Amino acid sequence: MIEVNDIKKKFGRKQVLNGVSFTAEKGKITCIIGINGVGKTTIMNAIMNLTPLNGGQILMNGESIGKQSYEQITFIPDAIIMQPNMTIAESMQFMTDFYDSWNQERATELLDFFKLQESEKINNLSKGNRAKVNLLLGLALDVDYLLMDEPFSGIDIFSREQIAEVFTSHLVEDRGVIITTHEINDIEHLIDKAVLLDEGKVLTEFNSEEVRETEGKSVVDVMREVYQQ
Amino acid sequence: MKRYWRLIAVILLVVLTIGTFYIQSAIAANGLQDITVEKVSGNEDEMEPVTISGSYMLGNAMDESVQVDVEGTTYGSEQSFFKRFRNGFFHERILQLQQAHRNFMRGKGGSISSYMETADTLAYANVINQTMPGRGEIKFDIAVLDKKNDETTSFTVPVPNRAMYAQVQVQDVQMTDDELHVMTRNYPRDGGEEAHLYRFDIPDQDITGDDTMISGDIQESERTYFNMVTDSDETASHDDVIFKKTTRTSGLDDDQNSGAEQPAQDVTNNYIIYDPETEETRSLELPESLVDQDILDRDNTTLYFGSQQQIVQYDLETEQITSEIEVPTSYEETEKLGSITRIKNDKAYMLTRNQQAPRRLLVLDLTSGNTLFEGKIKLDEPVGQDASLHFYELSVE
Amino acid sequence: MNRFLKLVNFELNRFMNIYLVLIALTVIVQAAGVIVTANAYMDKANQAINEEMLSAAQFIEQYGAMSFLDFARGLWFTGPIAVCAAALLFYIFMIWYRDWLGKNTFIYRLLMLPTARLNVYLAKATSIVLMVLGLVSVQLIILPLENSVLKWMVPADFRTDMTVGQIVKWDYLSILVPQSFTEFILYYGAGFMAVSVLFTAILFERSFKWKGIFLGIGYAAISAIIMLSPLLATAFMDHYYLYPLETFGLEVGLGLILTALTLWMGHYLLTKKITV
Repeated sequence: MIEVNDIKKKFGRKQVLNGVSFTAEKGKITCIIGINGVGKTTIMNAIMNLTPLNGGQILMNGESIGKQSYEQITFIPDAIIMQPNMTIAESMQFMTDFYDSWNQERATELLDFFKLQESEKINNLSKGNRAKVNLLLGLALDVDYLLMDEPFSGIDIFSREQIAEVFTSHLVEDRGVIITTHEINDIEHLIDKAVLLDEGKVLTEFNSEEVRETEGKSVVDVMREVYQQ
Repeated sequence: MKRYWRLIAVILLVVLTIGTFYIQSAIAANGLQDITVEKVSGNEDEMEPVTISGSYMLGNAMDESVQVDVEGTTYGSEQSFFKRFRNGFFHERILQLQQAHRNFMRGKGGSISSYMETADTLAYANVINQTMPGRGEIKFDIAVLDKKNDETTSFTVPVPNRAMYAQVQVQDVQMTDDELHVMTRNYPRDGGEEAHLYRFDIPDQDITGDDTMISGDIQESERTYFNMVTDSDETASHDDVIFKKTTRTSGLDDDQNSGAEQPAQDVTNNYIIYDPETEETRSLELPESLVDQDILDRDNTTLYFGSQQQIVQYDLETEQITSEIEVPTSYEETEKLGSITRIKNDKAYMLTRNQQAPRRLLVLDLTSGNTLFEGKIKLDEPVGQDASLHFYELSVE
Repeated sequence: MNRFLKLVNFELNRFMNIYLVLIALTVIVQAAGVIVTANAYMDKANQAINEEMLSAAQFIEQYGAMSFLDFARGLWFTGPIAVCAAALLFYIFMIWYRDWLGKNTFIYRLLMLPTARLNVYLAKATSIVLMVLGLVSVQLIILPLENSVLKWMVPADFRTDMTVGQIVKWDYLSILVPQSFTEFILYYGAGFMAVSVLFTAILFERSFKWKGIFLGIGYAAISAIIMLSPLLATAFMDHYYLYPLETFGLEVGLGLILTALTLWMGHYLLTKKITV
């Protein structure tokens, strides 16, 4: 379980996160929802220890994130994080070199699934294909938790469908996923838990399935209620 | 492994090249000349206390210090880094003092003329705070070590009338009983030069006197210079101070003559002797034959004059020539640079410096006039077109 | 192979193209230079002998014999070295900033590697030092070749021969290739220290942005003052009590402490303060 406890972050005078708390469980998809600039990416960076916090703490299975955690948790930002002049094959080689948790079989599977050519240079790929490479490099790691930052932003409709498909496949199953988005539609039916953020705070946190079943509301319905108050 | 070829290649390149370079430079000949003193006549044992220092220049860019003694040739680059580092900052005589009196010598700089050593005293005087501007007042830094009970007295005193002087250089240090004498050359801000003798009372740790011994003067038609006659052993003890005073009188400075040859100059030399005890200055009445000769060296009692042909000893007390010794004709001095002569233990050590002719080293017995040793500086091969070998120091232990 | 060496290899790969260009530039320009310089000298000699009716000996007396240093002083030789030095100096900064700049923020990947972040730092520093030493090695390899070319082009009467050992004692070459192995270790140890101080200064900037620039400059300035403190002591104190070898020991000690402190500070910034 990933526990985010009362984290605070300031950029200059702007308090971006002002005591955010939530949990994400293994085997569930947790979605952090909020308009742009609300600090979704900052939360991701903070979980990965890529930015210092002004308060609060983040634990994974009861421990703070250190270098060994990167074999158990990985982050897929919305920008590609490989050397752009590398080919897909070289990127995969890089991952093999440095991660014990790299699963080559699954990587090959993903390559087929996304219909990517190993010999292509990342530089020459379309935006959609770059996002796919990014997903591939993250998903092929045998990690317990996956963090995805806006996986659908700026990507064509066909790629979106393909990416969305991944979530229902065995490629994700069993793992804990934290995903941020400001366009909930594509994945509304996939998520288990929604965390609504505004002005540096968690407005509400709910189990989307429960809400659907007991109150008959979709995530978007809840969002509308919450944000329009 | 194949993927790591770049790392392996760079490491191999670096280790092999740099390793080979340093191993090779450690074992291979460095291309520098082996310089030896080859015996022509006499007893080689006389070479024992002699060290010749010089520099070997190649292509007017490479400058390699070299020392030749009875053991052979040592080039600066052949010494270990630590030895070069330890020795590089000080005069050899100061290094000796540092080894013998490590604690006393700590924090003391200056040149070798700042020191005086006798059997039971080591004295030091320097003028500090004048190299860096804005460092505060210039002052004397005085320290005296009583060797017998290993006691050090040290203090600093401002230089009297310091505002008047642009610079004060210590030229010699002497000591009588409890009084320390510091001979300096002062450069007043308004021009000229002065030789001062400052007296210090060591037990009282204070300055007690400031005598101007002599001063130089520059006027339109007459220029007076003075130079202290120094002992080649600058730490030696003397009773009096001797100056060579040179006066140049130029002929009429007629403007119409300018552009033509320099007007003839009259140069007169005379020697001034200053007795610190009586604070008196008198002229040394030298025989005519000696006045224009060069002084090779001095010690407490004797002045040594020399020319190509002879060495003349002049007793300071009796003011008489006590001996005249002929220099063997094989010792030819046909150069501008002149030779180097050192007098020590009643022997004269002489070295010619002319690069063209083979250089010679001569050891003469000053009492008998006999040649004890004559040697020829021998090189493996003649120095190349753009190379040169200069000797600048002859030191005798 | 452990992750540190893999990282060093990776960092070398990333600069390898430019690095090979630098090596090629050095070799080609210096080779051309030695030929041009030797030719120019011989042309001058031939002209003087044929037109001014000088003898070879007179010519040498007037203009001097040609030595390797006549070439080494010229732009043909020093130019490529200066370019290489400037490129590597620039790359000390770029080796970090390239990971942050542009759309592809590779720093995410580097910081998320399952290895101590200090390894990323050390790998970058090691590759810089290796690349400097690599260029020095290339220079050491081509020096004797250039020396041979010179001997081959200029008749013996017109030249002063120098060994490679003598050539590298000249001016700045004696800093690149120190006289003894002890000095080699000292010089390049100091170089490593300087690189790490710059790295830590860069990480200050990366961690604290605008404020970090001042912190970084301040850190570098304090480091410089610490290393120069014995020298400053000689300038500002009436007495400087240490002997040269003691000062040397003090400098080595200060250098080791400062390097350790700098690495620790780099480690601290990378794990606690860095922002992607």
